[in-house]
Amino acid sequence: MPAGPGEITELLQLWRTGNRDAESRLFVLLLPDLKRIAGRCFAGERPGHTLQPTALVNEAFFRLAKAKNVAWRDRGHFFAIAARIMRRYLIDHARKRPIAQFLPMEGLQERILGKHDPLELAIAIDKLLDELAEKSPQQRSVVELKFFLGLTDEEAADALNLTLHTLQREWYRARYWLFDRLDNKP
Amino acid sequence: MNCDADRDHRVMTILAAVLERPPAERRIHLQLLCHGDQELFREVVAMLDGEERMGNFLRQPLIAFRDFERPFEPGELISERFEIIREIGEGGMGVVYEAFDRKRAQRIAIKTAKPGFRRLLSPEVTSALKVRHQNICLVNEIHTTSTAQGEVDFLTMEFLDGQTLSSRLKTDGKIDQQEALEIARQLCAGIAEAHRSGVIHKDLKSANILLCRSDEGSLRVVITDFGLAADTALGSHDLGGTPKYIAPELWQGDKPSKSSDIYSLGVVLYEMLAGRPPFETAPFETSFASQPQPPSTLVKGLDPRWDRVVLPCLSPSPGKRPKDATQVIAVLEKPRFPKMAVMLALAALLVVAALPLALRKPGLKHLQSVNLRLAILPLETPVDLDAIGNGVLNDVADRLMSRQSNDPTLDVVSAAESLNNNVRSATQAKQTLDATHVLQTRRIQEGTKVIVKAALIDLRANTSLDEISLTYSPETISDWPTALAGMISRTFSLRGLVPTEQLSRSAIEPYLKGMSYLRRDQDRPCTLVAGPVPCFAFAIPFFQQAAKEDTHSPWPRARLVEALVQEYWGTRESRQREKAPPIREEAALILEEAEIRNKDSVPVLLAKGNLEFSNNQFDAALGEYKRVEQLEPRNVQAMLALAVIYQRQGLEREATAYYRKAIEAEPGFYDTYIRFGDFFYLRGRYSQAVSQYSKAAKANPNNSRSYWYLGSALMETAHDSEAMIALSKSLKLEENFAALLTKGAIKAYQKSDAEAMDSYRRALELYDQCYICLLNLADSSRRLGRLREARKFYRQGLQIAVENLNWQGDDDFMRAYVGYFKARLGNHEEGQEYIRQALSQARNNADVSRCAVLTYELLGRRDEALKVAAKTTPELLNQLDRHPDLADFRNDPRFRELKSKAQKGEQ
Repeated sequence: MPAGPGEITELLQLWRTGNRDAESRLFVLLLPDLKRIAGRCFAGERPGHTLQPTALVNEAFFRLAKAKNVAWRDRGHFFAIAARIMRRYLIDHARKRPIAQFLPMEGLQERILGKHDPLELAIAIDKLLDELAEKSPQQRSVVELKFFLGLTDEEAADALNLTLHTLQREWYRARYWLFDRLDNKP
Repeated sequence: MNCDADRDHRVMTILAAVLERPPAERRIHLQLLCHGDQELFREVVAMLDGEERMGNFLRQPLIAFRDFERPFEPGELISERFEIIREIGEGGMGVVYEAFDRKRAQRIAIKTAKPGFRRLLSPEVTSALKVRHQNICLVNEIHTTSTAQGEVDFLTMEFLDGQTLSSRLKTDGKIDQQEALEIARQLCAGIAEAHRSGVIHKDLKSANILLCRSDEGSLRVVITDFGLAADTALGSHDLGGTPKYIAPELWQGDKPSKSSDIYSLGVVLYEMLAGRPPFETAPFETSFASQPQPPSTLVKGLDPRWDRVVLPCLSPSPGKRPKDATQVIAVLEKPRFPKMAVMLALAALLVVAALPLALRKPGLKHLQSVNLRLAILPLETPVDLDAIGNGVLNDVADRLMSRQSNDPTLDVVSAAESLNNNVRSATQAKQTLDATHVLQTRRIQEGTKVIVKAALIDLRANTSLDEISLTYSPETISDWPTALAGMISRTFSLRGLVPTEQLSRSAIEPYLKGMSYLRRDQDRPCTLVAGPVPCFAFAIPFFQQAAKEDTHSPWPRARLVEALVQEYWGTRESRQREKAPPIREEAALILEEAEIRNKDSVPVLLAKGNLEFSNNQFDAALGEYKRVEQLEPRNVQAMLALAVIYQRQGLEREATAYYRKAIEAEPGFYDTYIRFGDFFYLRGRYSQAVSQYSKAAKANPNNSRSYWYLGSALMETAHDSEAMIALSKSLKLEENFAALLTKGAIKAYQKSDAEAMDSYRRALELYDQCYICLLNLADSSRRLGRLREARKFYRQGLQIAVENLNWQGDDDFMRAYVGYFKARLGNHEEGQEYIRQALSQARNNADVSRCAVLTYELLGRRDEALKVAAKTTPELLNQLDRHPDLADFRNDPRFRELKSKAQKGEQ
């Protein structure tokens, strides 16, 4: 069912008050668009041009926000829910992906010796995020925005209504906590 | 909150300032910035340490990772009709594959829509597919198929052999104006035709333009993806294109139009001439105000009329651009010469066309440096009619020419070019094309099977360099271009892999499992308990499964050969010798299967080398491993194999160099240390062996083998108690005959023969073929005065050693053991003869020297014994000095002299 005018803004406000149904409904409404955005990020030109996706995501988000009549002041929540949805989507994909698809001989030893690839790392991070949220829900949001969505510090600060330096410090704390948890695991 | 924000501001500002400094200065600088605020200092120091520890952790957003999924895999049959041959690229919309259309018996390209891009093929797109023009990629049909990831739409289209303009620009920088004009002309023709049919490209860019060769050998420019630009993210208002090619009005919300295509064309032309895009800045901000620099000011000698072609296309206002693609290059098409001159020019063109090998794309630069030229002849039967066959041969040429390399040693003339020049035979190739080599190929159809016979002939010497006869089933038919390319790249030792190989997804897991056994990374099951059973038994079923999962890849088959060769080695020391010949045969057959897929593939070369080595064809094996080294300079397996071969050939310096290289390439791999340790051990350089074996034990502490080796080497350096510790560790990991044998030997050196015998007996219970156990048992019983028992053990040991010798033939140390056994059993003449032969064959083998000294001493030939001793290492002299059977010998003043000399030499 397509979103009626203003529905997303309304849902965002509900979501802000902790309404779980609102989150589910937003998920249903936004996932198709977000999937396309993600797909488009993966589909860029062949490796070598990295990180252009971030610019693409932002561009796409602003368009999406505009298309769905999201009020400007709700942009932060919009980003936050988008990051949550993107996280779920990406992690589902990472889980489905086989361990390797393309095997140049050089990399083979590393794979055999069990070094982690970025997607395995992402799955591990995902598992720890709820635990992190118990400590600080804000830090979880920072990780979602920075790691799963790829926002810049400025954008993430804006979305969470924090000063740039507070955002950076929270990002540091979240990273450190996660790093520590992963590092201490045998 | 405010207070926190202030604090964050201070901390983060200081941290940023400190991080700009070189690491060594950071703390001092930090102290300065904190002005004695200890708490602040501590906070920032902690973060500084944290940042240094974490490095780039989580710095790259997940969304930037690509390659999440692949709709199809090589070898898959889609819609019961299209056989996926290989992945050839990835575009904005999805993955592009080369495939074989069984129904039409044609090579085609398949372009998939990625999941999430479904339903992009709107009715409007469908009409776009109907445009038929020489310069537009012909799309056959739209299909839908279901995969594990859901429904996937895909297009089948003509297969184009060529290079994209963008990759050409990446290698060559820019394109000279003459060729650029031809490209521009064809681009304009294609775009004009599509526009006439009302189809807009929407995503014209150099990556969507292919430079191919037509059947006549001339340049054919093909625009791909016409009208396919995804209406991606957000409905019709979204931009489907690639930023730098997108016309400015589209950023403001206009819909794509003919005029926006013309703008993109302008960007392509500009890039082609100038080697860089017209605007350097980010697409969001540009294009409105700034004017691009005229190309003629950037490129020396460029016809200034090009400015009048390119700049109007790039005009920010659509109305000012050329209305029609045919108008774009009109200014360049106006004849500059009177009609007569055009005629002359045409005539000149015809002459050029008639020249053999009309200077092909890689150009003069390439031809000049070439000293070998291989002409691929068209298929012999039936000439010309076999379109697929000749297509495949062209593919072979392309794969060879497109390999990433800069060695200009070989020029390849494709089958199409040979045909264009009326070259069908070796003689014609020599005369017309000045070829030094030809590839002759025949294709014979036998029912559903296809037999491909190919010969690579050196025309200068009139010899055949390599010949293959390959039988393919319908499942493997798509493999023969790879096989032919492999045969050629192997023969000419071309650099760069042709082609990049893939393993299908379902084969990866069993393949990797097999590999971990083959490499003995998982040692637990590869046990020493009952003799040296290697890991092959565990690896074989995994490789068999992988081979079943991926019928195209040579890899699982090649690895299976390696595992079988290991099994073959295993039979040498067991009672199952009758199994050995069939194992070798099986290995040879499977190797053939791997080779028909690609004989220039690294695993195939390794397997071949392995098999040759097991057959004592050391020079041949050396050739395979050297080739691997050329293809993959850091391949540890090849390094180790080369080290072992050089070791066998007595080239110790080369061997050592390769061991060191292997350690450097993969310092964590324990097996390298074991082999390097063996190298020293066999040469009687025991303390160096100890150092390598301890590294092995450190790298893989759960491996009983490492500790056994370490224990043996420690024993030989007379570090008995340390040796016992290592051996106990080995035995704790698993009860194994080898550690028990060595434990016994230590007891024997300590003159506790009774205790030693207990150990040997237990070892023998575990592995009854252990002739050294029998030898040691016999020696100990003899020293205990139990002569009958001793004789019995000597006889049993001799029997096994003789069998081994018959089996192995060239094993010098086995010959020495036989000699010792014979001498002990009273057969002095023969014993001496065996020892003499072993000494003449062995190079620096410490075990042979030890046997020889013991045997000569037993036969009362002290002079000979001393001669042998004089040539051994100081460490072996030390061992002889404490050997329980050499009490007389060590008191000989000549031996004492040898020892003191050796000691002085060591110091």
